[in-house]
Amino acid sequence: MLNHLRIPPHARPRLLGAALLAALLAVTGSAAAQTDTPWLHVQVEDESDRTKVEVNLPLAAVEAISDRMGREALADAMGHADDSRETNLETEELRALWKALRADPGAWVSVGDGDENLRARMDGDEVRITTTDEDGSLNIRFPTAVGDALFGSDAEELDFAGAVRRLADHEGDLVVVDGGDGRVRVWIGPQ
Amino acid sequence: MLRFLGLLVVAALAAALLFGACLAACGVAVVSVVADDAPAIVAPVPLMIPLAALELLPEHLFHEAHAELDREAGPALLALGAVLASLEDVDEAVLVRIEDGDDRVLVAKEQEDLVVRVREEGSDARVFVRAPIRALARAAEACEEVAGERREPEVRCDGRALATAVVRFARGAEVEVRDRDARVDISVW
Repeated sequence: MLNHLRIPPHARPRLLGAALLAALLAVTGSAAAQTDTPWLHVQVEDESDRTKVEVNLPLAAVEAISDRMGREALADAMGHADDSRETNLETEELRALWKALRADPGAWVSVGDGDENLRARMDGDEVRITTTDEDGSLNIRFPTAVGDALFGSDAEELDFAGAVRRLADHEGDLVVVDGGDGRVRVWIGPQ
Repeated sequence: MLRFLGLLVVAALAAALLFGACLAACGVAVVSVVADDAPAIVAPVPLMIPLAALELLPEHLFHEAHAELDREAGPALLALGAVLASLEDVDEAVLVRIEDGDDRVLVAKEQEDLVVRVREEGSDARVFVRAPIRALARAAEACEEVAGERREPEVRCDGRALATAVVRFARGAEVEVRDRDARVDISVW
């Protein structure tokens, strides 16, 4: 094939080598780009009514969703969470909680009121939120940078897209809920 | 006379070739409806017909579509566009899987397409949709955020551009709906 091209014979091996190297780099580069892209995984299981939900999305997609619909989606989610947990955390309360955690790393801070036993603590570069009651346990862990992005500014609205971007540096479990017949697991990992 | 006939044949051939080229370029949707208690219908629809119709439809019809999308589907469409764009470069994957008793829903990326499979055991119903991600992404591009009269920005969609993108990039799309008594298939070639 190279005979049809006007390439000096002595340069052909080098050209072939360069082409092979370029092809190899392109293939491995593309594969690395795809495997390195973090994904958000969600698994919900409820054995009582045989329900299983699994969601897997590239973090870029989650960022896009949170950018466009994050406020409403989280408001809905918090509304449902509030209904089930009988707590009512407003943006300002969340922000105040974040400041309290930031002010005293390592100390446990109680969240909610009355019967709730929700506790949060800054543990190195991570924040851990846990609660245990007769219905089960809830464990949340996320990088401190996520909270900084979410609550950092004094703007009226929380920066969901910024928080999701920070999740790209995280790997492993974000939320684990284990209670009776139901389990919820949210984590960041490869596809 | 012979010369006139020759010209006529050449014109007919050219028209046939042009028609064939248009068919090949625009694609054909084959719609098939099979029901137990009715005669089967199979109708090939050249996509150049809806494409031409979209160009000819009066503008006010699309204005009505605007209002509907602004209120309900606008923000979701904007998010959908960005999500689809992020999916274009990833490998095949299961995106959503829901199992509720014996009912199943699956949304996945397969090759360059978004695939949805729904199965409801109780009614023996099945739905299968295969849509090229490119078609959906182009459709979503017809929507944009604009400053609204209210405090929050609004989303406006160009209904004509949206529909045109769906039809123009629909090649490879499949829809299959079936239950105990009937089956509907749409394939775009």
